Amino acid sequence: MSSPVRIDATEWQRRFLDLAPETRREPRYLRHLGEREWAHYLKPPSSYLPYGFRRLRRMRFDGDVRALRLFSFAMEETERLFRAKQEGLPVVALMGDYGAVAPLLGAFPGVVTFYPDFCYFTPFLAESDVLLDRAERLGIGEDTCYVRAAAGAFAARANWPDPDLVVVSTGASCDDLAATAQAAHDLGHPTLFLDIPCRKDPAPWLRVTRFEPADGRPPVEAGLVDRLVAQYREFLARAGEVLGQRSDEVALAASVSRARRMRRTIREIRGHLASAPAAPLPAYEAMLAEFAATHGFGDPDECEAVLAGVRDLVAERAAAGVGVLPPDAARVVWATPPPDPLLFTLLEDAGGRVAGSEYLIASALTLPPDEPDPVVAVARAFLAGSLLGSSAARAKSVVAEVRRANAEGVVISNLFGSSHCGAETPVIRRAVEEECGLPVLSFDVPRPAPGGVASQVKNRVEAFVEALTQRRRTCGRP
Amino acid sequence: MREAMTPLERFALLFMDERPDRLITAPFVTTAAAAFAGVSPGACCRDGALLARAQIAAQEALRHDAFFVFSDVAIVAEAMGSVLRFAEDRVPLLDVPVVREARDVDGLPLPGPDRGRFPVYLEAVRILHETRGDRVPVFCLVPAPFTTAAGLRGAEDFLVDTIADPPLAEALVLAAERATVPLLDAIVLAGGLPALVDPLASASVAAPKTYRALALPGTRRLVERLHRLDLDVLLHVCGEITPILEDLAATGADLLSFDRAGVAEVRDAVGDRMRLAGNVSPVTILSRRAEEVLEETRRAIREGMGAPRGFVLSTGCEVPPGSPPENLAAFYRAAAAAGGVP
Repeated sequence: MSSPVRIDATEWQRRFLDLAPETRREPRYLRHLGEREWAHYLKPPSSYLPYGFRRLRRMRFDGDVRALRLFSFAMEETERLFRAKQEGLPVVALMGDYGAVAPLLGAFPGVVTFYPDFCYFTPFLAESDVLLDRAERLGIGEDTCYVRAAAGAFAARANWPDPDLVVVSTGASCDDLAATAQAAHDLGHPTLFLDIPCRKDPAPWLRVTRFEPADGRPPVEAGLVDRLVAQYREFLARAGEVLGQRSDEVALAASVSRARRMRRTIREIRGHLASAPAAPLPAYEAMLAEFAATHGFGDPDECEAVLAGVRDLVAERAAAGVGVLPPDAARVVWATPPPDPLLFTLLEDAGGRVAGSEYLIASALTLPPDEPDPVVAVARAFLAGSLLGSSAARAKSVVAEVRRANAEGVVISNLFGSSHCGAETPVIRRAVEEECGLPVLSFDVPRPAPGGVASQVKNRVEAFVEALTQRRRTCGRP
Repeated sequence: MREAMTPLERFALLFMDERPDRLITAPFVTTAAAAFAGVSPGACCRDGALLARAQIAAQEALRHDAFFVFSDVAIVAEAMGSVLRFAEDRVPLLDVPVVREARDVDGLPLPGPDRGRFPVYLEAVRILHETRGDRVPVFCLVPAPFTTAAGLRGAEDFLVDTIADPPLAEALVLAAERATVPLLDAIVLAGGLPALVDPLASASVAAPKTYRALALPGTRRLVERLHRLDLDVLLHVCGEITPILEDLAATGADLLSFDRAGVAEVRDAVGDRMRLAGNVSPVTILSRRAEEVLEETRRAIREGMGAPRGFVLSTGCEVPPGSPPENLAAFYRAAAAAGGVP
């Protein structure tokens, strides 16, 4: 194992060009289609610069090929979707749900899923207003968070092929997503809506039995499980009609099993991130690993292999007591995924480390329980989600994460225009301060701009890490 | 409501074998761009900021789909020691080739990205990428090794070498290839898409067997290197290309930009393997009537639109400085009528 190190795009390009051809060409997506020249996806960050991803020039990345594989697998999703469509595979867009619908769609072999929602990151990776401006022209302006970029992408049809089906989850989800999804629907794509129930205060007519997840997450109500299961069954029937396929129960069970395996792998990765003396993976790659849980980046088979590689990497580093950051890096829990990944580089350069996270996708990270009916398993896991509970429930999750990661502080990256972000921040702050006695940094992520992060945010992140380090001198290490 | 794509999105789709929202229109407005910024062509060749400014001014005025960072085909040879003659009103010309005799080849330097006018190109690429790189692709035109070899030796002597002293010619091409690699790598890091231009290798200048023996191997290796980074490679060859069409496809380049050949002919020969860009004649644009430009552009579009892997409306070579505005307008008018630039 080479020494773990974070490197920039220049250094990655130099190293990449020296890689053995078999190393470069081994990772392939959509392998079940056979050998395709376009399916080789391993590439360094610099390969994306000419195609507009300008932020990558300012970021730092893990220097190991296994982490690079995760990065390029995630970055290649756009081409993967177009190629899948060219090969005749159905492409389904999922919005607003995280972690339930993708495993369910495994009932239709060959379906490739993606989340337009994750366009949220694109304006920042590209340092570009293009998608946001388009969304604005559709009437979705700054009163909606950066997820509105997805509406801009739908409107130009350049970020993904026209989906065969759009599945929109509304209700107890992000309201900005609902607005964005409406734009997709208005463009005429076949759309199915799912209603996510709110976990808090179930209606009296529901049969309520408390379900206690084993992993300490908030309990859920069995009545809600029943309601979701019925809805999912109906959804599978309707999706089958649109896709022209019958739901395959064996494939569905296999899909849910695969989701369970992937989530277990991600859980192991998260475990090492929290417990290893030195950070075994940079925060950006760690976030990508977590987001892989939502849909396996459209190719769950390959994603399993990618995640296994990352799991082995962090395990090796943890066992060897080495990491990509100094062992004395200040440990933080990061709440809400920052659309600007440069913030991670900034935190790490300043002497911080993301040891735990609450990225609003807990529903994708929860293991589907071992149930005879895979749909029930998916529903139960989904109800542990971050977006469908109260703010207090989410704050409780952050506090639990702080304890799990033995964190010294919490960073909350808010989003301009996001109502639930703004509303939840004081609740989370209060919970962390009162229950853990730890400092909290919260800030709004400014609109993307060339040249890096706004100096105001940069100063606050650096000062926060400095404060954590000072605090350690007076209060001792956690 | 559908939104127009950006030029970058159009090219990205083209390279994924998808159809963009409209005809991609990317004439080689290189030296001619200087006039749009009110600066001299000669100054742009020595100043990356001016070169970028000229590209932006021309693109904003004409609204085509690409930036082309380019001054001349001797830039690599110059970085290796050849001396150029500069003037304000034109691009630099080769003055004193660095290789006078065979033994000079051994002493040729391997220039880093800070040598010669490489920094001019890199600065221009960087500025364009920083300011417009999220919406317009930045192609940076780099001479292929065969053309650079001519800049090291002098075109006439080099072409004689290809017949009289093939080992020397080969050594020159290899040296040129080695010297090109660091520039290509640096262009990528600056945010540009390296493109290879090989005017000296066309069948108008060199025999097809010379292309096969001397030009093709080095070009193919450079394309392979760029493919290692999964970049899409534009190869431009001016002049006659019909006899070497199969060889051009064998380079592995993704987008073939060509000059003197019928679009339909090229389409039928290699259109299943390469995307095509062409090929309104610069001579037509410079010296014929607007109606002729219109007709030639229409024909190129008509024949190119059937290319199986996609087509970019372009010019066969650089748009000549001083081209009549009405002729340029005719080119763009034909493009617009076919759904190209608005």
